Amino acid sequence: MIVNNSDIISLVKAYTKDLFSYAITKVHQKEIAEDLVQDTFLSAYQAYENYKGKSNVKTWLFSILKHKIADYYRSKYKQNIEVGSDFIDTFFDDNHRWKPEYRPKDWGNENELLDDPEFSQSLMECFKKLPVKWSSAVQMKYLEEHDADGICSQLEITKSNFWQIIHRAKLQLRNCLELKWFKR
Amino acid sequence: MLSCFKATELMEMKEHVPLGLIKTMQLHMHTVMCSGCRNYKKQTKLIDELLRRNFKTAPVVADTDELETGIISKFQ
Repeated sequence: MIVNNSDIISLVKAYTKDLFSYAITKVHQKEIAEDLVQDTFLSAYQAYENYKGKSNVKTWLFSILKHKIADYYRSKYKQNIEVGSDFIDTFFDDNHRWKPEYRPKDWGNENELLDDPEFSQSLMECFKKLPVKWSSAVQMKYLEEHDADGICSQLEITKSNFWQIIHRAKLQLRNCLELKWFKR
Repeated sequence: MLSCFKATELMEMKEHVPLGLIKTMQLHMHTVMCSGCRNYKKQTKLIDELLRRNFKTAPVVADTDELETGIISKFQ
């Protein structure tokens, strides 16, 4: 297979910025977006012979990138971590009622919190502490704005599994915020 | 009577599928009587909205020149 390197280099020069701008909105982390863009060009390089003008080159590169992003979420999600029942036991008693120390307290005026940048920052710090499997499900829910069906098929999980994970992630986030912000 | 665990799970489920009449009523009854779950309900909405806002604002697109040079070097 003979690929002219100058061809691929001219593609890199023409499309790196566009691909990166797209990737960063989907994964929200600079390093990961950069890796995905680089992988896109490496794949494009390998597949170039097959491609040769079959479709618009930009469309072609974006379709490779979209596959890379889907793969990224799938692999991130697959990195283990069971939703353990012992986790439930942290928050709830034997009858699955709130344990007194974990019972959600009144946070006061939610509208004020909504517009408080520091509160929002605390939330994102809590988000970063979530197990990887949960955070990828949460991230997809709010990032992609697409429906549960789409997310479930991308992550290869069932719908009930999906909202169970979101539920557990929320419990964790809520508790983390209460500890951080309202200091028991 | 629903447990608090189940009630908070139904709140999440409701975002994705219709709950049906019985579950909707059970959830309503529980929330009326349980202050912890009432607080949770408000807080989960707050968290939803904040996450949505946070993920909507894309990080500032950094300078991609360095990335470009890095990738090009792989092909030279």
